[in-house]
Amino acid sequence: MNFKITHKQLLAQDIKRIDIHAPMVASKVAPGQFVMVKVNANTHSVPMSVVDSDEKRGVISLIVHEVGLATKALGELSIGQSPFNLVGPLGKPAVIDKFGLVVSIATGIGVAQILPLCRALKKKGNKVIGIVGAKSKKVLMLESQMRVVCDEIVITTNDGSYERKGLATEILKDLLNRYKINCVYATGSVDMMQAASEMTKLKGIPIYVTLNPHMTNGLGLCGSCRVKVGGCFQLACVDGPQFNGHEVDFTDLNIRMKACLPGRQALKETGWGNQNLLTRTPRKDLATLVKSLWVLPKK
Amino acid sequence: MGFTKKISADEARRCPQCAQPVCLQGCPLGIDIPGFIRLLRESDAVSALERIKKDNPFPAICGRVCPAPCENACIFHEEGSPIAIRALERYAADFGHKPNSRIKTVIKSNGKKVAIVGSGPSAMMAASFLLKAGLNVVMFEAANQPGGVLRYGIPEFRLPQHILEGQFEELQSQGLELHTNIFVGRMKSLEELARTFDALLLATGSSLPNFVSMQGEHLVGVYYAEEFLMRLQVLSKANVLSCAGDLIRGTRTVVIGKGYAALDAARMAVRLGQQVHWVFGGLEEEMGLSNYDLKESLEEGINIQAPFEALKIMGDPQGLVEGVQCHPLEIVEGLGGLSLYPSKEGPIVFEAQTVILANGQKANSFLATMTPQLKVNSNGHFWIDEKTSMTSLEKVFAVASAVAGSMTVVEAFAGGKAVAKQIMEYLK
Repeated sequence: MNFKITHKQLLAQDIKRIDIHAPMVASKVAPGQFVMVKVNANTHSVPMSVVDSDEKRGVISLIVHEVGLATKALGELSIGQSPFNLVGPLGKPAVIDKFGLVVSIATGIGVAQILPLCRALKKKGNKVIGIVGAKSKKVLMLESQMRVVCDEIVITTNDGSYERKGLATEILKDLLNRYKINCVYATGSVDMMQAASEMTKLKGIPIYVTLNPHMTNGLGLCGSCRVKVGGCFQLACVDGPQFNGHEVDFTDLNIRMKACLPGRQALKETGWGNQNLLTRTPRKDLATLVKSLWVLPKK
Repeated sequence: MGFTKKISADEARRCPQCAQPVCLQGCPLGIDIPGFIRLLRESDAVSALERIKKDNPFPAICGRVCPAPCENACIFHEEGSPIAIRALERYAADFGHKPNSRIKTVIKSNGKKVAIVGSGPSAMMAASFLLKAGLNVVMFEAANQPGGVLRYGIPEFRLPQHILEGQFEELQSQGLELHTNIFVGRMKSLEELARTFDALLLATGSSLPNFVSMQGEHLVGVYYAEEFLMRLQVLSKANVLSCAGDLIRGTRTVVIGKGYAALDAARMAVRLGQQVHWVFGGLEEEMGLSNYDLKESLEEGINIQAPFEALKIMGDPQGLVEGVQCHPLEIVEGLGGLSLYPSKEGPIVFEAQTVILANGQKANSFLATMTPQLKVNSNGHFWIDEKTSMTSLEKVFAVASAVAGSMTVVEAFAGGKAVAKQIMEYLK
């Protein structure tokens, strides 16, 4: 199978939209599902939500946030090239129903995941209010698409460089007090989802959150993406990625999210990552270590 | 290590060729063990391989990763020096190829089509026997390379990937149609497959780790053995070091549990430069390893701490693992044999930055949730009719770990062989 990149666009700092020709995926994908992309033989597979799909042309759109080895490699591919492998659609389709008034709250890269959900909600006949939070104007993305899909939209930036200054959760709190809201969809940072879940729990409003723990292959085989939901472990790759926000154990999730921090960044933040293994300067003993990993030394 | 010609001949001559061979009872595949060893006495690897291949089409895999129940059954086992049957099988598999063995006679197809979901050991074995019977076999694998546990659960140093690829090439030359990247249940439903095929075999295994409720299990740096091995296995050789840094922190690792998954994870950790303690709450003989593998693990530098009971995993406020608290056990000889009691000494803490848990696997209930007509047992495995191996759906069969939970590679091979016969019976 050949997954050719048909279109590529820079959306914001380090964020790119990539359209890939994958007719098998495009014909079956539902909102909330994702694909696993392996860029080349040397990198991990990374889960990517399918933001948009065109069944006629057989094209799916992915939003790539270049943070790690694999996503950077994917961002470097140009039109006409294709990634090594792509599997999908994976994950449970999101719960989409006719609720009435729905608030969709997303921060950071979460906007990419909430856009297809908003579109499906709108199609079902809901009134959708979108709240988009970003660190600054530089990293805000998909603004126009969200404006088209949502009936009303509130944009906040942490540093006040665009529209309102403040946190997305503050807006949600305000909206919850003013209107009678039937359902909330949240995607983004763990802190935001936790705060939103707590707020809605007080009011007795259902909330669906989309979680992004580390995944190895997205097939429900290894348990890397286990999250505590309703007191027991569930796998985000086959049981999710969307869960009932009231049941998710966010303190556990916070710890699980650290398990996938890329070595260098994590080393700075938490001391996580093996300093010896991360040094890039070639060392003799490292070369022997590589050998011994794959071939037994002769005795 | 593989045997040389001379060592293998010497080892084969050591076999007494018992009148009533006990090793045969040990082998789930029923290989003619004394027969092929007799041929190896004269270093006739070609005939020995032919003899093995009658019952086991994959001696190169079995000769490396089988837990060797035949060696445990051998009459010399009590003395501590059983005949190295596994190593002899490997010798025959590695050196017994005829020069033009790649050219295969084409088997005439009888037009019936069988789909196999999964490509692990039981699927391979079933495919091999079904192909020999002249059926068209199509295999669906969700990952991008076939092999299942042989690919993702067993490290390269124990089963080199080129051996596995060789076996699949052989199967494909016999007419196997292999589709990777097809996640049955999500991308193709079972009903869809059942419509186009005459029989369907679910060899989906039981790959999900058993989540234990040990305190501190959620901390950063705690892995399940299957997860740990898979995450290393999907990396290429080129960047295993840069990415292993994400996986392993510090210099000390504690492995808790038993069996081959624990052994492989521990050996992998040693090879990543870790000091490994293997904590096990029983006697060394109960670890489920063959003598040879246990000896090899000690040689490699794994410190086996047994019997110790792991109480909890301790972490710092940031959620990183700091150590494992263990309670030493005392062996007490009672009326009903040996029993273990917590000793009077207090608990000990093994310092560790990485903890690997190996508690066996549980059913992967994904397919059952997607197809509600498929009946499952209370433990999540597929329900099957014991006589025919058929599930609650007509013409859908299930096998090995998908039915009975975690098992060894050779048991899965034997399961695949048995179910192939039952499918042929059904298709008659």
